Amino acid sequence: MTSRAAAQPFLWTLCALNLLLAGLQLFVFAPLVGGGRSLDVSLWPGDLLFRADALNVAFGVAWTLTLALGLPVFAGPHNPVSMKQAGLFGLTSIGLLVMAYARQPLLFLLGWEVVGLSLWLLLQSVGWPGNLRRAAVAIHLPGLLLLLVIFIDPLGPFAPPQGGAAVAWSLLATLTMGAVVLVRCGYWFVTGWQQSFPSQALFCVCLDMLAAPFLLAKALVAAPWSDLGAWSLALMGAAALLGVLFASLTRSVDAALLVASSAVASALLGFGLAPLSPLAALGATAFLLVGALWLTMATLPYRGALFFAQGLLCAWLVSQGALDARYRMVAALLLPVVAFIAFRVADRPMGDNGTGLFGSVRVIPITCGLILLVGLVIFPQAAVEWVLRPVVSALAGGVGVPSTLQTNWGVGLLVRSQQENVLAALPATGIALALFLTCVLLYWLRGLARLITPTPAISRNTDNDTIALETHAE
Amino acid sequence: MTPELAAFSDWTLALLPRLFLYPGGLWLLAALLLFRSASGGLPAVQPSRLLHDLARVNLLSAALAWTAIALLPFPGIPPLPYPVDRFVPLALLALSFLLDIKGGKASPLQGVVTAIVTLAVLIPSIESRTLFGTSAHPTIAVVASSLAVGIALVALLQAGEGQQSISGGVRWLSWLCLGLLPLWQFIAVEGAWLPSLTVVVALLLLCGLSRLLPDGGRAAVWAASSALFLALLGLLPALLASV
Repeated sequence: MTSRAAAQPFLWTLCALNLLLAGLQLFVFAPLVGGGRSLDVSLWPGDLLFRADALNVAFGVAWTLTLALGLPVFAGPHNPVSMKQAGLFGLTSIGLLVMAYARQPLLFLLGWEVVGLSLWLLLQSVGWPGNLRRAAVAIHLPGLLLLLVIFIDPLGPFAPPQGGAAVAWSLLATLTMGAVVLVRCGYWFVTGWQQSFPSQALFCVCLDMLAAPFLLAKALVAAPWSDLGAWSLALMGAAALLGVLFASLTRSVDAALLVASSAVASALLGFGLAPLSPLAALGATAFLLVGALWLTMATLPYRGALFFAQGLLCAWLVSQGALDARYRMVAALLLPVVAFIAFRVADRPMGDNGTGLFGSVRVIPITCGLILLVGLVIFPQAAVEWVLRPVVSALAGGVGVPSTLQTNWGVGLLVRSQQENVLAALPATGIALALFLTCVLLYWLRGLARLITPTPAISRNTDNDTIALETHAE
Repeated sequence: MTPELAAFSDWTLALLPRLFLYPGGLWLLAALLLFRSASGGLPAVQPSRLLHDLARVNLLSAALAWTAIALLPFPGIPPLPYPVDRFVPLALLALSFLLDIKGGKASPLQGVVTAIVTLAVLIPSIESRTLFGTSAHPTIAVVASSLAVGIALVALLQAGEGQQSISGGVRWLSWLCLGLLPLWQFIAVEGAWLPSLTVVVALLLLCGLSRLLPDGGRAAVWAASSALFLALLGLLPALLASV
């Protein structure tokens, strides 16, 4: 039996288990958390440890689904999933689920540390040539920082306040949370800049990065930031986004790292502005979710365009949210920077062997990812109403109700001010119809042109996977 | 009929003339022919060359650019029943550009200029604090934004965008029309003649300017730098505006 064949059962078992976990969460929790309800669970009387609300369920499902669909995409033929690695990926799933449903900051921290530990052990098992000791410090240092703040300035549970208005997080707590997110993601980004990760580890690194800003979402369930805190987080996010932009000018960062870090920076921006504008919270949540979804399509040729297409709704929401909150610089930066990063993603390497196809294994997850993407782009109303709005409603302590965002199920999305002025409009479904009509017409015209032009010969260039049309002049 | 279905139906009916007559469709075809002849000379509009380029067209990329121009709030045609903000056509054009660079064929300069145009077109939105970017009177930010778009388009011509493919040409025209949009908020125009004439004049001016500049990368870099400078110049008052 070849090593590749031997690895298949572990890979598929992992995928099936994660898929089952995602399905179970949807089946059990979706009816319970509908309509803004939540469920608190205790392991022993009087101590509520876990909480299921729309936010937690959305991220719990998204992460397990990403593990189920993304792993076959990143597992290359030269580094099949061994039993030990399968166990570590299982540990990652458990850690992510603890993070998702933790009600207490200490439990959240424990889940995060488990994710970090499994990632560190994975790096060791795949023979990553980087400095493992430094990686261990970088993984656990943010956790220690957070732990220190928990002791100095006790953080309350990640649950809405019981009656009355929530007291804003202290500036120290806000800054620490922002710094923890940046340090955790920044280390992987800087390390990936210097030295590429093996495919499986790269997948786990990206997932770890995309999970980090969830800390801010959790904090917003309980209370908002102060004005200075919001400004600081927005500044951190803008600086991080510009950092990613400048890093993208060099050619040594993996495409997946660029996408994950730009999604994290944009989410940091959005969550920073969230208490001032619920639209920014919607956009930030969407950035984290679509960043995870993109991982299933990371090896496709048009990955830059796919990232941009996925990020449109998110950037649109954060931009209008930033304009509402009078943070105009954010709105000015976001779309051009995301467009440029997507441009740089288009011709990036993907890990050490990520471009090698893994037979038909990748077809299923990539198809699932593409179906979700097309649904998100053509019909963002569903994503907004079924996922994003319930999630932001769960951030009751820190974010207002996104009442200015209106959904027209037939055409698209609209943002109105309190005075009923239209501020922004995204008729995505209507545009999809226009796109379909123009595509059909262009298809016929192109066919006609190919019939008329003298003996066109289409040859496929396998190196860069482009179709070249050579016309032989008579 | 449910309100959703009625909205979709109204949208479709309003969209068709925009897609196939003006400003998309026939009007776009005429503008594209003029643009090709102005930027690439008469050989660029020879039937054999046009058919050759059409046979190689990137469907989705060209369709996105075409759709973007059809959605623009041009004078001379009734507005869409469901409005479209400034962000949307910009995003469609950036996506069209990204779909054209499969295999890393685009030069970094094209990517940079696309980002600059995107920033420049967004400036009126930043100033008015809505993604529609409406402005009652011409401000420094709006004028600098339009100038930045114009110079960025010259840089794109120098970098080869527009002449290489049909989708590139349609995209260039869409950006030009986006740069001219603020004009129609200050001048009350009834028909399609004045906007068409303005587009023709602007197109000839920019193509002529591009031809006057020496060929090669340095002129394109200078043009891109000037466009960035103008965009930043426009961004500053937009950030400080009191709206």
